[in-house]
Amino acid sequence: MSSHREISTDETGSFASLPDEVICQILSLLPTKKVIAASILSKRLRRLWNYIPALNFGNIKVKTLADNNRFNEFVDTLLFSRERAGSHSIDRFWLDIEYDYPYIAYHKSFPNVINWINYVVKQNVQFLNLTFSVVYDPGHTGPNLPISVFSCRTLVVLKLRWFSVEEDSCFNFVGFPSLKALHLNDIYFDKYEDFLLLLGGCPVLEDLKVSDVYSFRTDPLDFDSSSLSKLNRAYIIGCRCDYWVKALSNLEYMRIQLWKGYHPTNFPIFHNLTHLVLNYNWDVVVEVLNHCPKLQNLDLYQNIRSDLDEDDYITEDDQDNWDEPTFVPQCLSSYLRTCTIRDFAFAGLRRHLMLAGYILKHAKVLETMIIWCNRERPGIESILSSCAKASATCQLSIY
Amino acid sequence: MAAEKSSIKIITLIAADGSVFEVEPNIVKEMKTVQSYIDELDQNTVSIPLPNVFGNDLAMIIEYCKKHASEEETKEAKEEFDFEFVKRMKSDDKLRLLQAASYLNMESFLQFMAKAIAAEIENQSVEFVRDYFQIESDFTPEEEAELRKENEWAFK
Repeated sequence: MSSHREISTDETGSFASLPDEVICQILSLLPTKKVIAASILSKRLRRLWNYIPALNFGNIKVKTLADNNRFNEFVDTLLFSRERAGSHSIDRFWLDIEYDYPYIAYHKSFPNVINWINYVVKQNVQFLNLTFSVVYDPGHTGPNLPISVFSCRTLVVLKLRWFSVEEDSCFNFVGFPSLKALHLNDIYFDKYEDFLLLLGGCPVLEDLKVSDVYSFRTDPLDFDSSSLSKLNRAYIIGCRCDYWVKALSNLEYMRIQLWKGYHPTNFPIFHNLTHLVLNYNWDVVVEVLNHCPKLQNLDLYQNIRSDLDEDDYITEDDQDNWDEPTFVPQCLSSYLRTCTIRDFAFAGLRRHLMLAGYILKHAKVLETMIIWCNRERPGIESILSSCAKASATCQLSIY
Repeated sequence: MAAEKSSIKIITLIAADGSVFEVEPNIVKEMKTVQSYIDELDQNTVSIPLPNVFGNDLAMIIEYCKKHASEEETKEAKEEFDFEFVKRMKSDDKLRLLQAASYLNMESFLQFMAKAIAAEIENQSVEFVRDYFQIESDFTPEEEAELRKENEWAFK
């Protein structure tokens, strides 16, 4: 075996024996700032950094104009250097900037940012994450999304935060044939129609997350309910989905925040849904369950966001009754295994007790019910423990 | 478990220190270096020398492959295993396993090790990275100072 022991212990683990591709693989997982800093360590690293297929600018804080100028110059120089080295492959581009004021974002940063986005789109980027935010004076709609993004047919993952989509900027959009994940947060659309156009153009989408996607013009619109047939996870918060909810019928996991006064009349039957997280309106919980015949796990929240005051919630009288439905959804009698209720008794103790009691009474295969009560509510445990239970083995925990 | 195309039932892997491992063909599927060796042979048993991998490391790699090839294990159980697997490694172990993964041409294990190493150096200084990989600088102090100046933003 001696001829096989060519590598001595000294050599193993040393940087020199690792192939370039492996070094690049590690570097592409690091923040670009780290990669550049490490490039002073050896000529080999210096040579390789132009060829790392991922540019990760995460957690950039721009407080002043000087910060902004330094960062602009850094990225410009870097892209220029890659261009000069003949490096033309950027698979991943991640830019996450927090500005102190919208002025810098709009007028001093975005002219450069748009150039960078156009550049990476030309390099057939697959993973594009553009996350922006403003510390002071939020509430402004985001800067306009460069239209080049809509022509980037190589995208596999697209994550955007704080942008506006101008009317007609989707005019040349022919779809994202490979897009698997789409996350949109705080995005204003001049025309809601454009948002639907975007959604409809993602035939292989599996993972959708939309929060605060809005438009001031929402004329009634049609959406082809046969699109999004591959979608299996959706997260919908702060966004109405009445126009396109029918296209979600293949979901396995859904988190959805319903809105005041809404009844799930146009919900499809979610034949594959096993996990549902529902926010806000508990009056319609049973109606929603009726659309989820195979549901195994149910999580309920009433609290919409942790940063809102109690005054922002619907106020309900503690003694108000809940109208117990006369029917029992199929999932309760055959599938529901876990039920977690958060923000219990946050608004309307009696109603919440009645709902929990109803679930216990009808869920035949329920294994656990966990209740998180934000307020001190003595007596909940004894009331629920003495409820009739369809599942003799159900564990009830109250925190 | 029967092998799909060939009649090979058991594969013997011989590590650099001479230690011997007997594994089923599905376990080595991810090791492209080994697989290409097997594909060229038509025997009931094969024994393959791996002169660049030490026994301790090969044992860990086989443990990882077994866990990930198992169809009974849930995704959560595999993630939990990965977490514990990284936790019990020291820095040198990680680098040796990375090299082994590279030599054996194991795509997903290589990515797994690259992630583990990236996580370890992500929040560390340039000096830490230099010591970690035992990089010997071939820049003169003047050149290094110049590079630091050019890339000032990266050192803030």
